[in-house]
Amino acid sequence: MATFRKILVANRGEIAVRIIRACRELGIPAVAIFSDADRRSLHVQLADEAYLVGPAPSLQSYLNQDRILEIARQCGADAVHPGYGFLAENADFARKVQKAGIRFIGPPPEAIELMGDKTAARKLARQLGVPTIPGTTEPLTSSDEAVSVAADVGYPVLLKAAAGGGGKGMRLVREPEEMASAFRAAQSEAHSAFGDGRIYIEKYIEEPRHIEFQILGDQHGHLIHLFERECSIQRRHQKLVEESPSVVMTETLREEMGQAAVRLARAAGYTNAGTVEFLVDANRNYYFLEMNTRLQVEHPVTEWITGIDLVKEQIRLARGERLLWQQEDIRTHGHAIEVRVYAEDAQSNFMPSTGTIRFMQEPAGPGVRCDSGVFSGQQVLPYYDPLLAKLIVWAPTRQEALDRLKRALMEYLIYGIETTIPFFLRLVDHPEFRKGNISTHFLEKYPALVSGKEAGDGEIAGVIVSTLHHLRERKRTFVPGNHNSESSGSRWKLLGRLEGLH
Amino acid sequence: MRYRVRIGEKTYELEVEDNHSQLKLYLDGKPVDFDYEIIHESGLYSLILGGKHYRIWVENQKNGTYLLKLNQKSISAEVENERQALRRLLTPRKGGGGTAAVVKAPMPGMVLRIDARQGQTVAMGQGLAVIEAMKMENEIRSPVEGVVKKIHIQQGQAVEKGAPLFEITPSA
Repeated sequence: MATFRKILVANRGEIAVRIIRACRELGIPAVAIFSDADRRSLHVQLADEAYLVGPAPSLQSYLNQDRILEIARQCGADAVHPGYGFLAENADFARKVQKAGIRFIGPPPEAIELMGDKTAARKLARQLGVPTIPGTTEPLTSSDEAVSVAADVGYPVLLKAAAGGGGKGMRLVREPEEMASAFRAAQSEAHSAFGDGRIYIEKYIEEPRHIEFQILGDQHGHLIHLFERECSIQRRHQKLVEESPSVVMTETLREEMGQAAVRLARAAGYTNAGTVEFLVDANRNYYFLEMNTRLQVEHPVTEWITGIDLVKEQIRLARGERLLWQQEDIRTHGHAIEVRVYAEDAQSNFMPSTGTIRFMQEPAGPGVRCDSGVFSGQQVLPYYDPLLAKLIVWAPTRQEALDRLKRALMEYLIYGIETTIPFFLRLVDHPEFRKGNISTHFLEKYPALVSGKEAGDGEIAGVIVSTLHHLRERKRTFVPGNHNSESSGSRWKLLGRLEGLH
Repeated sequence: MRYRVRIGEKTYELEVEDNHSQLKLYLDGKPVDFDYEIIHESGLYSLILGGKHYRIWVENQKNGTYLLKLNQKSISAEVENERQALRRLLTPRKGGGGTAAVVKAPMPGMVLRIDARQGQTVAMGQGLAVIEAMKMENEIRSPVEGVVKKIHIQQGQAVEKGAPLFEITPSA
């Protein structure tokens, strides 16, 4: 089958870099697009061709469908990879790409539309006998309606954006009094993030685990799953850590959930890579959550335990090639864990941190993979998602993988901005996390993990280095005739007396 | 040259002897066995202290205040030499000025919405504005009960971290 001539990567950051790498290995030229703010970004540096897409704000650049299509046509790209976020789950965009005679590397627009609408997806799940969380199947029209539905399913409830993902437009409501303001906030956040303010409501499961299944499907009706990923460590519904296998998974449960995921994907007419998300409660009951009709941030975890390159498979499948495996061919080995390095200050409640990365050194060595979108000297801007890089480790067992993760985190230097690395170091040593006793409420249960700010040890070393640095800076700005003989005698006695006056 | 370094509650006195080719250090009067290399110009040091190795990054945050990173933890250090200490102590402090509490931007972002009006009485913890940063909405709340004396921002405006947003005169 003829290969693609050229692939346009309609994204930025680490995922654009990841896709460009797959293109390179397949010998297909990769085209980057960049906003005014991204001219110096890593994905541009690694691409074969690069075109300006527009000004910094996403709406005028990475979300500008017509401009992206224009670039694709002009440069002669015959396929577009959307990555995740931005236009990845936009059915209109997928349709426009197809109409332009260009292949969209992802599922058909109809499947994006069906599964992207959370309400429709849950309806489909119920029809197929896949368990779902009690709640509404139709979007809510008002906060009054939300209050009456919540009274039926019982508090606490969760308000969610119908078009959402990534925790945007999501609010937890514990009592009726909180509903009106939560509803308004969810609606406005959903509207600004997705241009769609529709909200639905569901019962909130206490202490749930987030477990999802990776799906692959060809255009000839063959679908398989690539086992689970557990992504229970989240903050504000934003995933921070993903691993596979999940410590709670049993052979029977894996088989049952995997089959449910495949059944849903098949009913939706799904092809290419996708992910079916579930919540699993303390009694190992599972509930269908939603389907992500795209490549996931955490795909490297699955790649490592199965040995399958998901991005290359996406490209092959989009060309119409057949899946190379039957379900029973898929085997896993060892344990993989991914952590998301965000430009957020883990020593100050995850405040966004922007600025220039003055020095960076990535970890390496056995069992370590770093999917990064940044480099030393790069400016981190407030316009886009704060994900800088993903650190993924593999080892034969979970305990060894955690030891390796800790080692790699200590090696990972990013200076000039603050990151989530200190958080992961606290987490990796947490006894309950070590045991795998986790849920999506883990960080609410152990808030010290989030707000923790421990003073570093090695104070004496700090004293010496700060003084050396001070000395060096003063030498650099040395002006002849401006240096008093500071070594002559001690003035500290005088200082002591002066300080006494204050 | 003598230095005073403050880390947290503790103050260290460090004497530096710079004999061109060799640097000698005395910490609180005792000689220090050390060796260092600058690994990267931006501030990465390799320090060997009595055989123990430290990889430290140091950044000058403002005059005399240094942010140190060691084993993925932060240390804040204030460094001054005798002359600087003297100058600090001899410079009269600026007057206390008004008593209004200044609410500053906790992160860089865009002002999505302003919920307070000038002259409005606000409760402690009441929402004053919403700032969007990296696609998340963050509510800015009043740290005190009082009256909104001044609004420094407009809707749609981009703000830097630490930029003044509101001034609130606390209720007596």
